[in-house]
Amino acid sequence: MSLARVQAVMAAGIEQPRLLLRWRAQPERLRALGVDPAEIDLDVLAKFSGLGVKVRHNPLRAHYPLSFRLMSATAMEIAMFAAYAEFRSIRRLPWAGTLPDRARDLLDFLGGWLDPADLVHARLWDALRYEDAIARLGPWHVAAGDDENVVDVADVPRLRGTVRLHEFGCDPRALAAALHASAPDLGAVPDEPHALCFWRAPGAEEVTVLDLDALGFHLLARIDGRRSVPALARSLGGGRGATAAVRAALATLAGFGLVQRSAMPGARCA
Amino acid sequence: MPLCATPWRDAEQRAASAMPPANAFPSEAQRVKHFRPDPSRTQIGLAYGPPALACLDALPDALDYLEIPFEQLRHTPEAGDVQQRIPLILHCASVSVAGTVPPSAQTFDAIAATAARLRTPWIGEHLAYVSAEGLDDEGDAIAPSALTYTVCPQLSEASVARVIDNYAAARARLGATPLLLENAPQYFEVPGSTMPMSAYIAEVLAHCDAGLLLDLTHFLITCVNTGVDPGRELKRLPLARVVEVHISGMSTQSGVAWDDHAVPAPPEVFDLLRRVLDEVRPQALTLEYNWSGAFPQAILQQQLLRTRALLEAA
Repeated sequence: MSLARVQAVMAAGIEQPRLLLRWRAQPERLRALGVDPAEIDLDVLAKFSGLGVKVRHNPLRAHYPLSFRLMSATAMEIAMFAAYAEFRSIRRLPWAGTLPDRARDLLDFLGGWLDPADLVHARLWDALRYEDAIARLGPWHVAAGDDENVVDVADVPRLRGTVRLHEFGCDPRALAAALHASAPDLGAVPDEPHALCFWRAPGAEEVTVLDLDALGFHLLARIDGRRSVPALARSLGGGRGATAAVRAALATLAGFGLVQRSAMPGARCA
Repeated sequence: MPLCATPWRDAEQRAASAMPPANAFPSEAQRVKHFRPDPSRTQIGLAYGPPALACLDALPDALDYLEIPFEQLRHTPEAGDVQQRIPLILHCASVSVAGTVPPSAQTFDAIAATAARLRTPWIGEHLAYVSAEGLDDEGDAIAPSALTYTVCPQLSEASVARVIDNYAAARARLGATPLLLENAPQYFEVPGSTMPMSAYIAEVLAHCDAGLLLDLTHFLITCVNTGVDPGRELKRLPLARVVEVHISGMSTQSGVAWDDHAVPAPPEVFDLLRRVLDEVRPQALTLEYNWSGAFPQAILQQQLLRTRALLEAA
């Protein structure tokens, strides 16, 4: 087997894992290229392409330390990045040039690839979304412009600053504590749904993370600067009594500075 | 309803606090530091990256040099400004010395210019390849490959001959700066191979004047993945040619041992280092923990202490 041809086949397969799929299905093509299919381990080449893609994503580690720690501790990086390499190669997708875009692409893929019924996958999805929200409201934050469609009507609450809402299968902070152990035990992280609000207030340089109950989560998700308090109460499925509960909740949120009760420009839900 | 609120200082701010201000090192350096080999001792350095820079800030006397990739300097030349604080050794993954497609003249010229500017004592290059010719896969034209990660070559007499030719060409293009060749990690059997990695390295070095950059983690990975005894294989290497040693982490995933610069080196690597130090005194030893800005400084410093203790005991 020619040195040049063997190394060209390996490099092409590593760079374009879709070729590995083709050669696995049609080994005679490898033979035509001058490589004995019995002598080349296409599965390991696919994993090696995963290593290359993993290294390509090293710059994300600073923003997703818990997620990468979890991937490493559970030895899933190679399989995961190999699957991602194959996914992008099949679709001939170029790599994004910026970290936020590269992270978005990875999370978009993982949203479909991770199995919610798998404990490790579920915890990784929690860690990724938690750190993604922090990154996008922190170092990657782009201040939104004024909302020109403000309805200047009293009794219409508005969000102040930028808000992201996420529901998690566990408390990500408990997950973080577990991952800081030398031998992380994901099973020890209580399986308790948590709703969190990630908030960057106008002019703030820090992200605030708020624990929410069900009413707070669904209420914040519905505040759009257009719905009035009674409309919000109705959208939550309540009647007159619900309106009072919504007003009380809004008063609490306003106390944090998260909600403004009158129409003001400069807030949007991310 | 909010139950509690947690302020979170963003990661970029924390990272920035650990980094020197951008204007601390003007690009046109007036005074820079150079690596000077010291026959009486092995100098210790770190691979360039956020953990190395944080360590340099915290413990400036703990490090003798940083090893910086040519590719990093080509992309972000200002990274070289750190040479005002500490000597730099140039590392490279662009020569494709075990490949069949040479780098462009521009790449050779850029490597040579960078080496001259840094006054690096040598250029460490991988005994591997990053570029390969295109293919015609039954009518589908596959473009030539240009990988961002080095690949273990075919371990054969033909490959040895190619390396010797490529090495000679590179030496002619890169000026007076010596080249070290770094053993690649082997993750799979390369079709057409006729010899183990240890024999391949010995054969290459027997036919050229390159020094050996012995990456002990790559060496251990190769032994694990090919099922050979590291102690026995180590004796087959031309250890007298070792000029520099690399140490980094390793992880075993999906049934294969992999290079991993984001985790600490396993005890087996330090055992191999002890055995190497019984035979040779390298000029430099580089810890490569440059994949993760979150690599814990406490662990980095433990690794430095452990390495220094082994060097002092040898």
